[in-house]
Amino acid sequence: MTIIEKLAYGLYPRSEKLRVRIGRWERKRDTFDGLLEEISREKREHYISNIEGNRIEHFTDPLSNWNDIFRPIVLATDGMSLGPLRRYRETNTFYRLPEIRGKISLRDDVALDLPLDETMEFPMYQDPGFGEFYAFLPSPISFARMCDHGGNDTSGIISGLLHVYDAILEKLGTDKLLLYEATGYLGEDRLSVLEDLVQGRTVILVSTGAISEAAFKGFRQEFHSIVVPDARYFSTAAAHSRVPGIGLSDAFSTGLVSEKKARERATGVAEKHGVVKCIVTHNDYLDFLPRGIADQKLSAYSRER
Amino acid sequence: MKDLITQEIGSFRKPEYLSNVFRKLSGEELHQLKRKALKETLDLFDRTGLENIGVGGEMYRWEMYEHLAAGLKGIEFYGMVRSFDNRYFRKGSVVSELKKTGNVHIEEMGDVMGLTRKAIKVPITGPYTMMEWSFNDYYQNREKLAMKYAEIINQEIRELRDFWHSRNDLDLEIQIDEPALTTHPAEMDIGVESLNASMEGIKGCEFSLHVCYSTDYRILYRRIPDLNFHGYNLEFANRGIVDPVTGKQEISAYETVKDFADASTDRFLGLGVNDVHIDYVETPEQVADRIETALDHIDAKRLRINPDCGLRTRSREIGEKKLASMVKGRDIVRKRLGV
Repeated sequence: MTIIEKLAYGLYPRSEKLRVRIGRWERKRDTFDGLLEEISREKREHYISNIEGNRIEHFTDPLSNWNDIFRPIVLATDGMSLGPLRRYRETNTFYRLPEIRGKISLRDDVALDLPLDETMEFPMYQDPGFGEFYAFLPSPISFARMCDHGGNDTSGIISGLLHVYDAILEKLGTDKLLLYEATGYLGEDRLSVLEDLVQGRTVILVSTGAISEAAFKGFRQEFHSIVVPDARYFSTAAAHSRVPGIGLSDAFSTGLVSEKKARERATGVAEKHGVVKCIVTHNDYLDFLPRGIADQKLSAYSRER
Repeated sequence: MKDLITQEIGSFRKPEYLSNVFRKLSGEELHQLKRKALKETLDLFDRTGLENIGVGGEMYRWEMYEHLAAGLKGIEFYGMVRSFDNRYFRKGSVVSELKKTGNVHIEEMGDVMGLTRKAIKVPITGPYTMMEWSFNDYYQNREKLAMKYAEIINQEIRELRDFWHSRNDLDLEIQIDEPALTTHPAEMDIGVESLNASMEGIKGCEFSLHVCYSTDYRILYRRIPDLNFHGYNLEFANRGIVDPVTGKQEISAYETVKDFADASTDRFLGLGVNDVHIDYVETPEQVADRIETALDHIDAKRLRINPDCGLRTRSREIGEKKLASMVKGRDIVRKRLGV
């Protein structure tokens, strides 16, 4: 019998109330204290409650203060700045282009835990104290691909980001990390550049695109899990991680799959590849969806155990 | 038509008495407020000297996607979805076959026609953007959904055209808005095919295409021979040729008018001369300089003058100043040209 574990990760849709509240704060019509309280309340009473209620084993923070996957990292890091909007995914979605402007290092004055400061710029990671809680960071490989290099070479940018991530994880006091790969692995990409980051840590790698054996050339570590968006890459995930995972829930469609069907699909993939334990999740973070739909997706794999 | 006509591109900031209640009111009560805002905006446009007033700043529309989508059967709205930062829009889910339930533009156009004798231009969100900004939970693929939107838009335009020609002899100016058109270069075929289908068989209209936030207009220029538009209203004030790797602007945006002129010898260009993302008001001299740079590459008969995009991003006061400055800048050029 296949053991199915569940994962929820990445930016989660803000509630209408929180969105309005942040808008009011941005226009200086609300206090920061009020906003902070609302973010914490919503996270505690809604997201964490859903994680518990749906018995989701692995999860990250909902990142309610993140406007996109890069912005908090950029603002917490010397040697980078925020650029213009850049399009992202086959949706009406944008991110602020990270612009590399010199040597990358984590700012000395960054406090990564609560309380959030008034710039809304820091990753707000808050371990609720149960389950397997992971810090969420965009993979340096995607980061380097999706930023403005400013004349710096890719290897230098990745190296700088690895130092920043080390510092972030040290400050957070955690060795559990979810690395989010926003793009697939192209021919020249090598996961070996992440070797030092993975070593000694429990790392879930979420790949939202293609991943092949070639990407592992020279890579000597093992991920706790590699989550792939498609069954075609599942064997690769199974070969290089202790618990392979698959994103079966579609983060770009409001259509819902029945819970029974979802579990059948998950066990079907796992059994086909002879794995006894498998992580199931969504094929991208859920911020591309309306909040109510995201809530339903979150519970899709949870009730029939 | 005179050379260097000034034209509105689309949206203009709504007065607060309208924007604050737009989603709360409906029926005649809302219509009266829209009409009041339209009248005030047309008066504002008059003060600036603007020639083509579009549809008076789109006072009847909350947002370009939702305006059309909300008028269709087959779309469900499940909530707001983030576009960027803390900016969200109501993204619809296509859950069954799309069908028109009425004409979502005709009330607005009729009211504009009743309030002014000036030239108008009706903006309609295009099929590729409608597809791109929808969840597709029904059609087989993106192309099929885009083509369905094209079929609906084609019918919408025919109805507008018939209404217009019941009172006018001139062609009706239709501007199809496709901000998302060049965002996926690999899908340009879908864009071209669905846009042409939106206009197919329609006589008595002048069609223009508005594309903004494209990283590189050359993607569009290459397809101009395949597209059946009479002209293109594009942004130039906040852009240049952008290096796809560094994102840096390499050369003056207005020099790239040459690329447009090379790609097309007979289509007109609506030249964006005001940046709609900043409060800075371009001086008439700056506007004139931008127009004259463009005129190094394209004949004045093929050039119209407009802001980069809709001015809803700015306050009404700033918007008015930008439009007035645009008209004055154009007047400087006309005087120098002696037209």
